[in-house]
Amino acid sequence: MIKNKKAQLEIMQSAFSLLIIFFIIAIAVIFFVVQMKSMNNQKLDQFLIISQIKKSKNIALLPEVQFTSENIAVSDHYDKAALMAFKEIIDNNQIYYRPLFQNVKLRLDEYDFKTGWKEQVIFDYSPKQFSDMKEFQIPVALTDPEEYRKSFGVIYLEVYS
Amino acid sequence: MKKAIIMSQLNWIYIAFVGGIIILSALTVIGKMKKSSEYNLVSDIKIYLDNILKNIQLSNKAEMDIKLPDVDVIFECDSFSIKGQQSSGLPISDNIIFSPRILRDKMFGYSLYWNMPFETEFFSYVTSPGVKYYFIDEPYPKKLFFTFPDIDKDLINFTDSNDEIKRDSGEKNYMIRIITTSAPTINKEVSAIKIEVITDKETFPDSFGKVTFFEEESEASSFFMDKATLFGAIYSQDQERYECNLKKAMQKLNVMSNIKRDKITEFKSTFLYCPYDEAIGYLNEMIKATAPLKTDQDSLMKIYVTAKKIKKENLLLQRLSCPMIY
Repeated sequence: MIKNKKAQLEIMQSAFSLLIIFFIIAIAVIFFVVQMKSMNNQKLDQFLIISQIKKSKNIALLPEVQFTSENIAVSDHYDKAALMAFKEIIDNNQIYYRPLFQNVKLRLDEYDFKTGWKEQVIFDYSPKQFSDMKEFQIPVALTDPEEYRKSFGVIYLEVYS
Repeated sequence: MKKAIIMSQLNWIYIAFVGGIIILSALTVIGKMKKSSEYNLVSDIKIYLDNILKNIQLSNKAEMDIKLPDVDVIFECDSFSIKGQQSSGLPISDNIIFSPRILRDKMFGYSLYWNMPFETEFFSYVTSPGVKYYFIDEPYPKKLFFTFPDIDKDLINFTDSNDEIKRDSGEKNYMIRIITTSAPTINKEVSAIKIEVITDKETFPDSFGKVTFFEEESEASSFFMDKATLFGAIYSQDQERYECNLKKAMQKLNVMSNIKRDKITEFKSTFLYCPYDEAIGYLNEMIKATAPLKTDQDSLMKIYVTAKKIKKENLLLQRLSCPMIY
């Protein structure tokens, strides 16, 4: 009877240690999965930020709207006439521009000494549903070649993801 | 006694079973971690390389030297990927990148603005230290040699070229490109570009000409319109990739010409004394020439000639103190 009890105890001991081992393995697997998930999320965030910066660079240096002097682009200087032409062209060239900019809204706020700030949307590819939006502000000089007039403006770039 | 033997055997079976499970779990986790770290490395390379490529593109005329991790980067016209990885490549449709198919160890980057005749798009050029460029000591390649970025390049005599190339081909250089104006000798590692200038010989490399891509088993021709496109041909693996990028550039030129035309059409009503009609006509010609995205001699020659006309009109407008096209 005593021997039987001892054997039962040993079996229970074995089952219990088996359970503990399984439990440790399960915890390790859960820890690993959680860790991987958080790493992937971090990577995704990083990727989103990089792609948003890339888009802002793309737009800040668009040859379509940059002001050129002697055919050399002047950085942070936009040609107002080209900007207006670009506004029209972009609607007719969605096949070309949509994949390039993706979910982006570009707005120009121009400061006029007489009338103050004037806002105009150059293009709006903002999606109806989005999880994140980053706004980039690029101060630019604007030249109106038609009136030989220079002004100041801010490009607001809203990048959605 | 018998029970003790059975118990001892059961214990051993139990140890073997549990040990097996632990080893199996550890191996699975290690395998998964290895796979995941490989995936992370590949995605890191892709993301950062994409950003580096953008920086190369936007740094006009700046030469960049970027160390690559221990992987081969495969460049196609519309995407790049990592050799041996099944994951899809990252698209580079918005960048115009001329490069050999494989980049290894390092990436040498260079960029030029494509002026046709106005600033249209950045052209990026990337290559690796394993790609060697031989410029044959003939007038055009020699002129090109001195304007070419400071990468692994040499100026050699045509008569010595075979010995020099034999010495340099092998493990160090996985690709050798000869730039010449005469019939080249080629083999598996050695490819060549033959340049024939058709018009404006005196302004070379800003002239119009033919480039023939010689590879081991094939020979194909295309055309260049200026230094930027000629560099593109030299950097490109083959004619197909070169023309694919050229088409992307033409698409952009078409959009740019539309913008310039619309811009000066607005000027026309304000500046009645300025002769904008000619310029509008030439820009319309440019739009028409670039729209079909054709890369044959006639189409590219048309673009080249129209660009020259627009340039001339722009100078005329400048002389008349009119707002210019660009």
